[in-house]
This record gives sequence, structure tokens and C-alpha cells, in this order.
Amino acid sequence: MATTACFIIVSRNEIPIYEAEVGSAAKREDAAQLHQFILHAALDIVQDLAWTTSAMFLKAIDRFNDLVVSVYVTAGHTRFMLLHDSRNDDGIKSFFQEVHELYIKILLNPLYLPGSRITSSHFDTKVRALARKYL
Amino acid sequence: MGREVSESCVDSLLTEIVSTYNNRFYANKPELAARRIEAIGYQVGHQLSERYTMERPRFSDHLEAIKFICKDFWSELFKKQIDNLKTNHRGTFVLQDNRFRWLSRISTDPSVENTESQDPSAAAESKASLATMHVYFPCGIIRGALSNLGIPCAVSADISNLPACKELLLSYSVLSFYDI
Amino acid sequence: MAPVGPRSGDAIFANVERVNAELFTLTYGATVRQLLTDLEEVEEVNKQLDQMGYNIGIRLIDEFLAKSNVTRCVDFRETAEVIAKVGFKMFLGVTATVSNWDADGTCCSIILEDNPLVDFVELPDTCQGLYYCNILSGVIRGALEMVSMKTEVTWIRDVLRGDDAYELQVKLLKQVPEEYPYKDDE
Repeated sequence: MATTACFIIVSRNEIPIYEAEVGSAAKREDAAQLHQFILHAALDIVQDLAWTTSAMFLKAIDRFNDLVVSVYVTAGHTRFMLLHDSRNDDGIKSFFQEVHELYIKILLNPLYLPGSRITSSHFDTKVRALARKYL
Repeated sequence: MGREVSESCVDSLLTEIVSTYNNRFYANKPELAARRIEAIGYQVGHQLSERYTMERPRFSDHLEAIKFICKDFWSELFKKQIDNLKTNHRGTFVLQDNRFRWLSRISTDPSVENTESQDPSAAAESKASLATMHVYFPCGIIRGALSNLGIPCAVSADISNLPACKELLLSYSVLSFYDI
Repeated sequence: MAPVGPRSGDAIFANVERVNAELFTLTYGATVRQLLTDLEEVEEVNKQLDQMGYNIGIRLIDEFLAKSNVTRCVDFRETAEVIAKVGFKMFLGVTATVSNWDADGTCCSIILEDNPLVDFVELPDTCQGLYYCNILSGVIRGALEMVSMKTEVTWIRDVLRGDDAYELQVKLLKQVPEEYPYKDDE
């Protein structure tokens, strides 16, 4: 399992709607902040790339020291972004695909406002389980 | 094949949404009723476009997205594709469905009969205005779906042939079609 | 000639025009959301959903009677069974069960385990007083009123509120006698 892995979901309007530190390393507040900062900095790259390819999974679009940013962009331009130190592309792809299914279920809840924070604890638990399985 | 319900469920729900907003909540403000009915459609279109694009590559241009709406998306909803897609190459698209189920039912809807007065021309008018109300829902679905796919637009419907002809013609213009 | 018996819910559902349930579920959900936005008070939303259901019920009864071959039920017990076994099946594609009858046969529960209205729904904290499926109670009340049974329909259990099933209590308040006698040859 990856020691460092920070996962965020960013809405099409560039608003973060979900964040989770899913690596096995001990949780540190300042590290988490740095991770999110790196991910946000990579958003511009994603924006430009998204219309040039029809692939959903964009691997290693940015780097920071030994950390790599991989991204998955849905048809609705919701972005799943992962900062990781592992090099397991297949695992990361599966992780994204399964999170996508979970995300669609959230989106199909008529009482969920698209683009708002995902507060479902069920979703959080499932995402963390997927991270343990694939990353 | 996924789960199914009887078509009457959807028909009676739509009829009731229109009557709730148009006859009860905003009886004298049809434009407000229209906006609410459109908003309900918008949410459905937004959700379904995300769902039905799950297994496919993301659209890299707008025409692909429009074609998806005409073929796959329309088939999922109505078991048929859009019959004709036209564009003026300046950002307006016209989608035409010659047998649009939701409209072909209005003429037989008993709740419409109840609202009719004795005067035949008033009756025709009331039928036409009710049909217009029904059309805001699918307009909302299309706008919601396209917006979600990165194409902000305005959608309007032309149902000028109602209620005279039986072969109903429905067209959508996608306006202010621009890059984001 | 032997009378034609009522058709089974499965047989009718197999023959009616059917549509993608997601479209129905999401349209209903978007309606609930819109009502919450417009009316603000959850209590008021419950009331409007019930009213919408009632209006649908008084219209659906004709289709129900026509397609099911059910001759008008006089007995409340029999009526409840028909709603659960035939009515739910022919419209929503699911079957309900009837139980918890009271001693004089005027009050029972219709229990639904599988409910297409709530696929994907999770109630946020702000909607705790909401009876999300309240349209169903209205439909039952409206339909029964058209066959001369005045009822009161209330939710007993709701999965969205943490229960293990959906349970609607249907209580017969008044039965208006039929205005015309049945003809033997019908």
C-alpha cells in the first residue's frame, strides 16, 4: 500500500467537494495541507488537458519531488485527483473507476445538490476501503 | 435490462407536476411555473447524463456530445433516437422527434378535457398552453444534460403544430453555444 | 358464461408499456427537491406530495380497473389485497404484502420491501421530518375514494428513516354504499 496518498474530488467549478488522506503514513496536519496545495496547483494542467483527450484516466500529469499527481475526469468534468508515491497505474485506474461508481450514486441522490460537499459517511468509508485495496 | 415501471407512472407524474405548478402554485404566473418545471427536468438531465456516460470515453468536442444526446441518451429515455439533427453552423442545433411520446399523450389526457370550456377555440388554446407547459420538462432535461457535458446552452421547443396534427413535431434549438 | 377472474399483477405488468425506472425515480426525486426549495417547510412538502398522489390516484383507478378485470371490490379486506398484489405490481413492478389486520377488519398495513421511488435516496439531516414517499399514501387514498372507500393512510415504517421496510397503515373511515346495483351479466 502507498505510504502517501491524498485523494480529492474537485467539482467542475473548481470547488473541492471531498478530501481524504488515504496513505498508510502517520497523519500530519501540515503534510495534508501541502498535499492539497500540490493538487490544487495541478488543476490548471488538468483543465487544459481535459479537452485534448477523450481518456478519463490521465496518469502522472504533474510531479512534486517523489510524489506524482494522477487524475480522472468524468464526462461532467468532475475531477478525481490523487497525489501518490506508488507507481501502480493499474491499481490507481481501478481505484478511480470504482470511486466513479460511488460518486454516481451520490449524484443520483435527488437530495444531493450537484457541486456541493459530499458528506455521506458511507461514501467516505467506501473510498477508504478502495484505497486500501488498490493503492 | 434495468428496472422498469409502467409508463403510466411517468405519465401521471408529469401531468401532476404540470398541474401542481401551473394550476395550483402559480395559476396566474405561467412563466414562474415554467421555470420550476424546467428546473425539475434540468436536475434529471444533469444526473442521467453523468450516469449514461460512465462507460464511454469522455467527449472531446461538442458535436460528439450532441450526437450522444440524440442517439444513446434519447434511446435510454424514449426507446428511440432523435429523428433529425440540423445545425446552422453558428451554434444552433435543432433536434427533431417526430413521435414524441410525452406530447402524443396530451390529447388523450382526461385532465385536459376537464379544463376545457364550451368554446372550442378556448379549448384549443388551453390544450396548446398545457402542451407548452409539458414541454418545459424535456427542455430542462436536454439543458441539464448538455450543461453537465460542458455545453452551457438555452433550449427552447417549437410545438406550433399542436394540437391540430397527430404526428407531433418537436424541435429543440440549442442557443448561445459557446466554448467554456 | 363463467366470469373472467382478476388478472395477476405479473401478467398485467408484462403487457403494459414500460419505461426505464430511473427516469421515473429521478423525476420524482427532482420534484421532491423542487418542492423543498419552493415550500421550505418539510411539513408543507409532505402535504403537497400527498395531494399530488391523491390527484394521481383518482385518475389511475380507471386504468387499474380496466386492466385488472377486478370487479368493484365491496369488501375492504379483499380490496387491500388487490392493491398490494395487483396495483403495486402493475404500476411499479413490485409486490407489497398486507398484514396487521385489526379485529373488525377496517385497518391494515401494506408493507413494501422493494420500493423503486427511493433508489439512490439518502435523506440529509435537514430533511428529517420528510415523508419522502408521501405520494404513495395519496395515491392509495385517492384511488380508494373513487371506489367509495374513505380512508386515512399513514406511514408506520420508512427505510429512509432507519426502519427495515416501508409500512403504510390504511384505515377505513367510511364506506359509501354503491349508487347502482351490480348487474348479473357483468
